Amino acid sequence: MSLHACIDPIKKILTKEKIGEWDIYIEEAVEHEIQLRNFDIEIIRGPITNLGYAVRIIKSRKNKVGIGIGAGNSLKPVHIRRFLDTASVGASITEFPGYIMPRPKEYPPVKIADSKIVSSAETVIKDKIEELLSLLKESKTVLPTFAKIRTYRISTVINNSAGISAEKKETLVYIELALKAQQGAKLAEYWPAVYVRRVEDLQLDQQIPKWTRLAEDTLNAKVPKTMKTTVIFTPHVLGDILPNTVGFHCLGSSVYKEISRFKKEQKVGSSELTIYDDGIYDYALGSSPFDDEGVPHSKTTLIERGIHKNFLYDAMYAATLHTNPTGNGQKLPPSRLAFPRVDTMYPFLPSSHPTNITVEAGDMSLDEMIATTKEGIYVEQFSDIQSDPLTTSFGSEIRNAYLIKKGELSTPLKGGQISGFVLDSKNNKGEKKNGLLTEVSGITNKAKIAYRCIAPFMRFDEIQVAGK
Amino acid sequence: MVDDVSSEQVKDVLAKTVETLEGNVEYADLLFDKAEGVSIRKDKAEERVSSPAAIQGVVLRAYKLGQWREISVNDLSDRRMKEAAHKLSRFQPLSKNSIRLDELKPWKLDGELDVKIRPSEVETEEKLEHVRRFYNDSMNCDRRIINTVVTYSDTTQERIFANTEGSLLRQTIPRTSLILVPIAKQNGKMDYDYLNRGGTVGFELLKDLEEETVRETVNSSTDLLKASTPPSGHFTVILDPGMTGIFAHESFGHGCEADQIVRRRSYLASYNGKRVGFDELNICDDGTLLGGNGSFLFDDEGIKSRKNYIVQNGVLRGFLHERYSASLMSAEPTGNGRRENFLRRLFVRMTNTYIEPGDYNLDEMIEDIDEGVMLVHGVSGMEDPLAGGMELKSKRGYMIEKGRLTKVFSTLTLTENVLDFLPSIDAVGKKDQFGIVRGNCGKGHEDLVPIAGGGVYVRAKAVVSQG
Repeated sequence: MSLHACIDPIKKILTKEKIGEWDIYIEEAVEHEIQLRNFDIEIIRGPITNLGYAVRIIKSRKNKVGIGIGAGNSLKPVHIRRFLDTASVGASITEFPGYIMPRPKEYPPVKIADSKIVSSAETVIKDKIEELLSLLKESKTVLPTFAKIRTYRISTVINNSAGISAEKKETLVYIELALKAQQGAKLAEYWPAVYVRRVEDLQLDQQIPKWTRLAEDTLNAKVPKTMKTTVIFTPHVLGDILPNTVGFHCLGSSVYKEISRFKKEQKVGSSELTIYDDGIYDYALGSSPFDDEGVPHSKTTLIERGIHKNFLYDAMYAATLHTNPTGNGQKLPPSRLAFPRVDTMYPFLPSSHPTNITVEAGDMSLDEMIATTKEGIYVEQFSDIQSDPLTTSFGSEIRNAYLIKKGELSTPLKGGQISGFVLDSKNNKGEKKNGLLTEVSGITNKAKIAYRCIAPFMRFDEIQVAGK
Repeated sequence: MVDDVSSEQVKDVLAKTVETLEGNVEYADLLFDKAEGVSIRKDKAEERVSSPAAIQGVVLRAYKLGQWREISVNDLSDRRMKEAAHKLSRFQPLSKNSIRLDELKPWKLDGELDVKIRPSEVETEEKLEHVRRFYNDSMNCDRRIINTVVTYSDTTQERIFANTEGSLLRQTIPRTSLILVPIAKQNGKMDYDYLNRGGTVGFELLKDLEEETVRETVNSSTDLLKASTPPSGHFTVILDPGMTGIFAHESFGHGCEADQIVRRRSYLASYNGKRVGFDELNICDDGTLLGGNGSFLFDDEGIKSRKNYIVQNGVLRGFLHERYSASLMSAEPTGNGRRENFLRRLFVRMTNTYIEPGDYNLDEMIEDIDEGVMLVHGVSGMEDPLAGGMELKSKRGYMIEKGRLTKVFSTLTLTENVLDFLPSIDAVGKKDQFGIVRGNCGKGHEDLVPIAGGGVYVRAKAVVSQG
């Protein structure tokens, strides 16, 4: 049954029950995966299929709005009625500050699907596993302890009572593996985990040698000493830090709740820094023609040369704060996970989230950035550097890093930790402490897609390192 | 798509499907997974009532020549189940080894983890009223509280398991939780602390929660507004029971998962039967713990849950197993084969992991310290099963100076090497301080399952900085 055909029986009951304002979100995900244990295939999974839907009902009351959601799998009329009852009860008992149902609009063109995965996911996975095994076997010193490659094909349809009828097909590929280097009793690992939209973006032929080298180098790693120094963060490290913090303080919902640290035209970072929320960047993970309420995605300037410019709105906070939605209503759990779910999103109520936090590229190469750093640390990977959205505090164990001495990468590092704040903060004596955004001292000229972030490498000064 | 079918009908479908797989593969099992429940999240602007955990379907899994093959469907129709079983029965392993799964005696069960008030029997409106009460209690406590986020969640998970050995099992597991986060603001500075309660308990969790507990959380949030800048360096540290639990689970327990041993990815692989800590150190993983968030009757391979000592009297006593690792390592399955849901694969996972009590008072532990840091209200931890590194994050901490708690800190990170940290433990708190904290754990970056971690206060040495 097509997804549009699935919507028809739900719409029929909504019409019969004379429900005024509603939207329907229906999602079908098909997953295939192969996992390795060392060089052996451990498990073949797929097709892993799940089709589900959610109906949202909106009821306006005096000065307030009630919103309810009912979600499920079954299309039997008796079950549709049960889910609608749940949504209806929710709409009757809850209170929200406002809501205006989005109306049909033209959607921007944006590429989010890989035709190879759409047409032959099983073959794609088998080919990629063979390629991975072949590349891994080239190394004499590094052993994969586990690996997984997974594809998703996700189809989504949104209909609402204001006439929106939107449909998209998207794909995702996930690779995670752990590469182990051993020398006597010494053990070291590099453990990457990456989502991309297209199989070709895995670039295994370039990544595997790089990842292998990182594992080998970590064998000789030392714990850094306690100091303040310059650090260089990779796009993936920034992908763990920036969406949770800069993204959070740029949300209209944070403004309404008085928890945003930003005000329009306020200086919030270095004049080298320009950041967008770009929901229409081809093949980025947070890209889509429309958000989960059917509002067109867009590119919004958040920070321009260090000055805060705009906030991001879903339909609820746009209505509440009398502005237009920016396409930032998403069915994501309200958590700080760097890896948000990519499927089974239908039961969630949409809420405000950034799409792709995008840092404008600078003017130096990575080699130049390292060469112009007298002393510092280049960090490839932290243990788990999820930053706190509200306080913007971050801190994590160094997993794979290098000391920089006289403009060159030197001793590998593991252990100890790097910490700080993303935004400027005050201590208990009222003294200002600079955050990462203020301490920017270099941005490379090429950006990469990293989770829900598109970022170049960035260099920051005066960052706290704790070690032995 | 799944139609509304009774548990008995599901059992029939599973038993019938398993029959079609017998003889075609070495072993096969099926798991029906259904979760229902309500999640309510309230703050100053929103009251979100939803059912994010609502999901149901079946995963069919077969084993042949050392390899697993699995298919998941959310359509229990005869046609779809036959198709899936047919595809499974024809599966040809891409790589072959001779490891056979140890055969287990079949058993039958139809059980439920008991709670006082089943959340499924309480109207959503009543749940929302309680959430509003906690919200109002928090907001009315102190004018510096500018917002409070209250998150209530209940799920009732039904799992039905059948395998080619003849086991047919059903369990119902209710879980209820409440998280309260009062956000304090003064002179442009914002901070928060939190309350996290829950486990395999019912709606009594909310009924029993007192206003005083909410007040204490609010006071803790406002207290953090005057938090000092934490020191950076190597210190004597004290962990509270929640932080001890994160250590036991994330830093130590993940290295004891036998699938990591099989993958040759554990720093503890060569420590079985060897000393890893002082004489009185006992670390358990206990899937039977009453009320524990990680408790259940049987795991997702149909193995009865049980209490396993990982470390006993300072010696590593063994690893946690699912069926494959147990067969390979000539061990017993320990009831630790778990899936997030029918869409995710099974791994060795912990349940409720904790350090058993020792004989120190907290005051005695603090008194002996000239300069140190106490970390309380754990936030998260990250495993490093291969290299034995550790990272623990706490929301709150204190400076210890000359045997007294002095400054308060907000958000700390602790790092160390586990095999340096364990021998540095020189004091373990008494039984009256024992606590267990609910949480969710991923296998690496995904596959979240409900767990709990806990224990008592412990004193050791580690690197600490702001986090």
